[in-house]
Amino acid sequence: MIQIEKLSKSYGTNDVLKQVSLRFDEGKVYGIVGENGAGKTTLFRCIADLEDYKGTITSSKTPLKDHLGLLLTEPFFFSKITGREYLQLLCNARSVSVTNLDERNIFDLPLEQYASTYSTGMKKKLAITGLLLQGNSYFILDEPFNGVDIQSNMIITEIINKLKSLNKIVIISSHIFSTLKDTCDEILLLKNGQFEEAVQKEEFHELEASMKDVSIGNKIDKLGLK
Amino acid sequence: MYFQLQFKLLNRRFKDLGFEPWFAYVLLLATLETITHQSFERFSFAPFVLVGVCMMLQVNLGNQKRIDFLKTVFTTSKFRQIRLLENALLALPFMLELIIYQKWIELVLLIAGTFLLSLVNVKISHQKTLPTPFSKQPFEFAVGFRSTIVVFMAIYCLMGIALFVDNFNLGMFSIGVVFVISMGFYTQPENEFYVWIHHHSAHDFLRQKVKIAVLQVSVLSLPLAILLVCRYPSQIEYVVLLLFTAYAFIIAIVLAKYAAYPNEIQLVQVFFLGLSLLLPFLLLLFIPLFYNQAKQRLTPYLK
Repeated sequence: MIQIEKLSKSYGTNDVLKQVSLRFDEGKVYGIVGENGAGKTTLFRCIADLEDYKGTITSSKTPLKDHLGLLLTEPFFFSKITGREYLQLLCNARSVSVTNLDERNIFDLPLEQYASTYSTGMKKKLAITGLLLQGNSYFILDEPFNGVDIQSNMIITEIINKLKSLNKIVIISSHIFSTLKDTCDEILLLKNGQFEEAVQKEEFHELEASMKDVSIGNKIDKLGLK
Repeated sequence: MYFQLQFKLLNRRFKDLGFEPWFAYVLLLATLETITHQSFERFSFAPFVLVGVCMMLQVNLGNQKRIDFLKTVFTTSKFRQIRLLENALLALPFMLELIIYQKWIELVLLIAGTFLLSLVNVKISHQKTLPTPFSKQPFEFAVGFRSTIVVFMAIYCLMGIALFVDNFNLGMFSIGVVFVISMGFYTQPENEFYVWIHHHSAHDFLRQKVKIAVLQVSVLSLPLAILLVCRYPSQIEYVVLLLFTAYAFIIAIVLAKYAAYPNEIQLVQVFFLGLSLLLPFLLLLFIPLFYNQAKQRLTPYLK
């Protein structure tokens, strides 16, 4: 369980998160949806303890950060570190020993190549592999499907389902609604630093329709395309 | 215009570090002069070290990304001029020191090196992976070694020359350069993610980092030290003294890096390290100081 109570975060006079309270339970996958700048990444950074904040964040496994796999939107890689060394670094950091790395390289990444030479999608897959090797209990995946090919997207979806069956907590942010629809048990709408709505799986269709309605409306007609 | 902009950027960096630019320049020059004076008096190989340090700084100016940027912005002739001029400007204080102390051979070496380095781009294929003995404990030495492989090849050649021409001091210099280059691996702060991922406390994190640094620098330096001791068994105490001091510096730089984290190493820490070059026993004071500062700086990431 991860429990967030009255979480507030501001940068100067800009209140990014305002008194946010919510709870994430084991064995469930949560989607966080919000427009750019809604506060998703800030929320993730607060959960990861990478930011100072007001309020409390507690978890059943402590300290939370030592059980958390954090996938950043744009993972950072050193210029001359190979894929294998990156995975080794992540495992060393958590004192996890990995023996069958090649077998567990399910995305077939060229591990002997420098990670910085990987494409955007490959980098993301390498970062995800690292988080999985660490044996985390909680996962925050910020845009895990971005830039990744269709086949790998399917693998990631299955990985998320597997994590769910293993009783892990998975929190995902994605701008592709269909990926959330396929993986999440609950979608939380973040707007202006507050959670506006929590939508259960059976109501996803209505949510998608209402989001389309609000976001698109008659904007396309205004283009006057002929 | 390009150099005016570089000058402005440099001044901004000094200001960010909390120094008035004019004061920073005076401080840097005074530090260079003090170190030069003290080291030239004590060690016959010190002028070579000065040349080596200056050329290493120039190598940094020749990194591929910078070169690619300059090439896309300037014409070929302008690009060549800029490369030569910026190398020369960087080398100028070092050249002046060599002139002041009448080290003519080293001066010629530095001038030739400066010219040559302005023609050379330090590029090793990004696609081809260089194997290193550091892959089990990435990242500083794995990344650093690959970035400076050419320098390490030169150092090992230098040691060969030292043994061949029977020059003990040159051998000592080679070992010293291994440590200086290795210290360079710790000058840039890593992305916060790479600190955050550790499950250690700040103390354990630092202990681990120091342990890895000592072990990995040993892989690069001990073979040279053993060769030198085998060739000059009667001078073993000098080699041991050099190693002892150099290990202290490696420990100090690792701690100094995190004492400034997440910022780059500050001028204050550089000044302390520079002072320690003159009076190495001061490291006994600075290492605990850096350790305490580093622990404080890391605590937000490693609670």
